[in-house]
Amino acid sequence: MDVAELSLRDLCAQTDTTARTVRYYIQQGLLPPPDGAGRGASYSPDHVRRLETIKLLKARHLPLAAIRGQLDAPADSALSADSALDYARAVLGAQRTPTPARRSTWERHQLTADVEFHVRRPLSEDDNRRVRRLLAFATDLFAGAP
Amino acid sequence: MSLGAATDRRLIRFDGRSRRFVALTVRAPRAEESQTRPPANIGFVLDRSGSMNGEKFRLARAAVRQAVSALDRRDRFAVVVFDNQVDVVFELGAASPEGRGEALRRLDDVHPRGTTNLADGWLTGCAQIAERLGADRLARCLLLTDGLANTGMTDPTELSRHATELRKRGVSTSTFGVGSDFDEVLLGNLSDSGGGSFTFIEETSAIPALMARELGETLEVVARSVAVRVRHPPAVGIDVIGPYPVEVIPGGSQVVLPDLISGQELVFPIALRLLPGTRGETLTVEFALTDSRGRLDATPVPMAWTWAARDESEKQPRQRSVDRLVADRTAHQARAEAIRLQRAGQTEDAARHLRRVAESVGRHAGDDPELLRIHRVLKDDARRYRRKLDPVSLKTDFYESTITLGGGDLLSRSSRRRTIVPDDAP
Repeated sequence: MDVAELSLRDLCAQTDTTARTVRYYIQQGLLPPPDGAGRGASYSPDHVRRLETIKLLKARHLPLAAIRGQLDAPADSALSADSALDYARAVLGAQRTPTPARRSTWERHQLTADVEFHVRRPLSEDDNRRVRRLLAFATDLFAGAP
Repeated sequence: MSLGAATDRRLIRFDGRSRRFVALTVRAPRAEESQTRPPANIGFVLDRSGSMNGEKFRLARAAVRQAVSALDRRDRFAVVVFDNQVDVVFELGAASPEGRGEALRRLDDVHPRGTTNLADGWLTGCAQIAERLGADRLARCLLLTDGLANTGMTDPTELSRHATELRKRGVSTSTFGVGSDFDEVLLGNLSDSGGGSFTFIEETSAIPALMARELGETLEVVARSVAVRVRHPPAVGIDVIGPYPVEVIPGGSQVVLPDLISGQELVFPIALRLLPGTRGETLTVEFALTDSRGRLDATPVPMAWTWAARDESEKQPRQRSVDRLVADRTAHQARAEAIRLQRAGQTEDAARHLRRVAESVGRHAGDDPELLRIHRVLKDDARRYRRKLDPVSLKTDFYESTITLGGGDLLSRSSRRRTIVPDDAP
């Protein structure tokens, strides 16, 4: 066994975790399976790092699914970067993937059989106020129409 | 000597699990007058979101003006500003009189507006100073903000992870939080992981002087990529009571420390989690300092514990100075966690956490006056944290706790923070 490799007992002692928890995390895909099986199974420093991260995120009350997302998130391309420049660029690049446009909906106000007033929401607070005034005015105006 | 180690107790239970504490003292050598410092790449990253308008941004500009005058021709610098958009005001270039003049002229044309994309601003600053970064060149990003990261990547854990990775690749980060609206937990984590320091600037007028101080300390760095290597059997677990991460390495673990400045001393405790063993046998653990250029004394400091019967272990004398250090740092760590809980709106949990830690310190205090004092302060804090604290109190508590947890010089920093008056503020 390589010096940096750990038995299940050592992994648990180092990270203050139980064997049952380690097995559960492996089953849930939060930890990769060990090398080998049974008593000969060996765990790597990556298992220690992941377990420490899981503990940190659990303390923040994150559900397991979100923890899995965070563990897998660190753009692997960034982690494989040798230099700080490549790393920062890779993270910035991943950040700049286009975000989905904000969802908007059209609201329809029928003033008469022939006149409609359409508003796309959401609106800023100021525009909301203006639209309310405009609608009140238009409703009054058309209410008196022949 | 560059490294000192002391433990609370020498005996460990042979028939059960034990935890023993070690107080580590790391001392950096003094830079000699004749010795030329390594050249540096410095990134100034300024928040120019709407809330920075007026006095704050004017003083941030003055801070950059004062700071760049401390650089010399061998140094390079970059200036980045961010709101929801990031602009590189001055691309990485030499700190020549022409370069400085050009950067400051361009900075004069920047006016605050918009929201706060802190992550992109910071990462852009890091990318700038990572250009043409040789092994001997120091790179530090100085990030100044007064607000919450509310656009782009905003998760403190994710930002911390990137700060750790950038630091491993030679780019460190220091943060400055101005006023009462910024997120102290996020900025604290970013600088802890980034190997730099966090400064709370309560009074806007202190911006230039505090940035100048941080730059001055950055230029005095004498040891980088510093770590305490701990050689131990695989079944020993190590926890740091402080902000420093522990990594697994062949033959043991290492505690990753920030860059050390000339003459700096760091004192911090670590906890060793130990398994049962054979009575009478000895467990040896070795501590040694490493850094990128071998400037620190790497002679290992061995320390041994002996497995003994439970009653022998319980009766052994305690090294009270180690107990006091552990209690003090545990108290500060509890306070930092309580602040995080308060920020998350969990006021009750914050008070409960402090109460629990107070009880634990009280149980081990015996008749030691210092431990009893820490116990009392924590109990008072638990009462104080039962209601929502104002942002400035949270920041003051957090700032003092982060400096103490880092093993630094609390008194000088906190007093300078309150009294410093910038001498060339416009």
